[in-house]
Amino acid sequence: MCPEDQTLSQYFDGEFDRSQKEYIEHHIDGCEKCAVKIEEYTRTRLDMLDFDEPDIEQSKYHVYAALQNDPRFQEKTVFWRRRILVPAPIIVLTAAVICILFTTLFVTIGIRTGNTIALRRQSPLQLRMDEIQLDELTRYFDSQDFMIEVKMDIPGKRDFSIVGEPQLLKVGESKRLK
Amino acid sequence: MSTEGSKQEFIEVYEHVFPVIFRIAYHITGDTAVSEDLCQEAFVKYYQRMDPLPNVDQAKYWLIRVLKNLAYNFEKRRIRELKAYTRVLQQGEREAPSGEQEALRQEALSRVQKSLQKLPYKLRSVLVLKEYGQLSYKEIARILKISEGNVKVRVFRAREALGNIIKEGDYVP
Repeated sequence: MCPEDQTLSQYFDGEFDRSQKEYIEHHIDGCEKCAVKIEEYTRTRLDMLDFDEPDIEQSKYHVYAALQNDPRFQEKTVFWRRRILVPAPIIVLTAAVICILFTTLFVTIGIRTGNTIALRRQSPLQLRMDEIQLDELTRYFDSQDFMIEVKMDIPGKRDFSIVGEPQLLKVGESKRLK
Repeated sequence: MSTEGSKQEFIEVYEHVFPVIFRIAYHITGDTAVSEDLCQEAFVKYYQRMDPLPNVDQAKYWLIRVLKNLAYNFEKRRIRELKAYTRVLQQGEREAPSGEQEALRQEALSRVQKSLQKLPYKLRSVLVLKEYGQLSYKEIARILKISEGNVKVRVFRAREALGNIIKEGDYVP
């Protein structure tokens, strides 16, 4: 059985391994139809190769001379001057993502340095009284226009053993006087 | 790498690869001057590459790929211009000088080259790469970014079509 014309074309281009090539050659030897097909392909190839080729050497010289005068050929692009083409939608999207990230960072996450406290408005403030003075805290809240209610659980007995004992007693007294 | 060293490498690639890509450009476009322009453009792009290719063969495949794209763009432009000139001629306004140039160009081309020009670009480019570039199916597939099977089919169709055109003078898809 004759191989397909496409297979003969592939054989003609030398794309088969040795065993496949030998098989097809053996078939062609005994099949006139396939032999004619290979002859057609050979004729087409010879026609393609048999023509007045332009003078390649002359063209090579012309192009090289043109390259010497081409400003892009004089200066090799250095890395930091290299043009990188990025589609506009990608730039816009990247800028939007960066803006959203930074906005989220500043709005939702508090930064703490030394005695300065950045407060999250939704959550209750929990502080150790030895880390900050109450009047400092009150002044801070006033400056931020907070409506605050300071509740302190003062133990019944007066023999405190925690730091800040005088301040607590004083505030406790102020509240009672009111 | 020193400037002198890179220039030396460029010259080596140029000497080795120019004949191959010029032949390919000529047989795709059919025009010597256009082929020289396309080759110049391809080599400028090669020179401008930041990362050098490891060997001359890799440079050859890269340059062929670039040239193929340049030739394709040229072909699209040429078809657009021809359509535009044909429209003008049909309207009977005037004799379009570039249409005349195209006719003169066709006359100058060999019979085979004229036949090649009648093939659709997709088939023509594959056959040119095969016959004039002397590339394998695998190499052509890599350059054109298609499968080897696709290359096999296109080469076969191109060869059949070219044979018919040379015999009968007309492309029959």
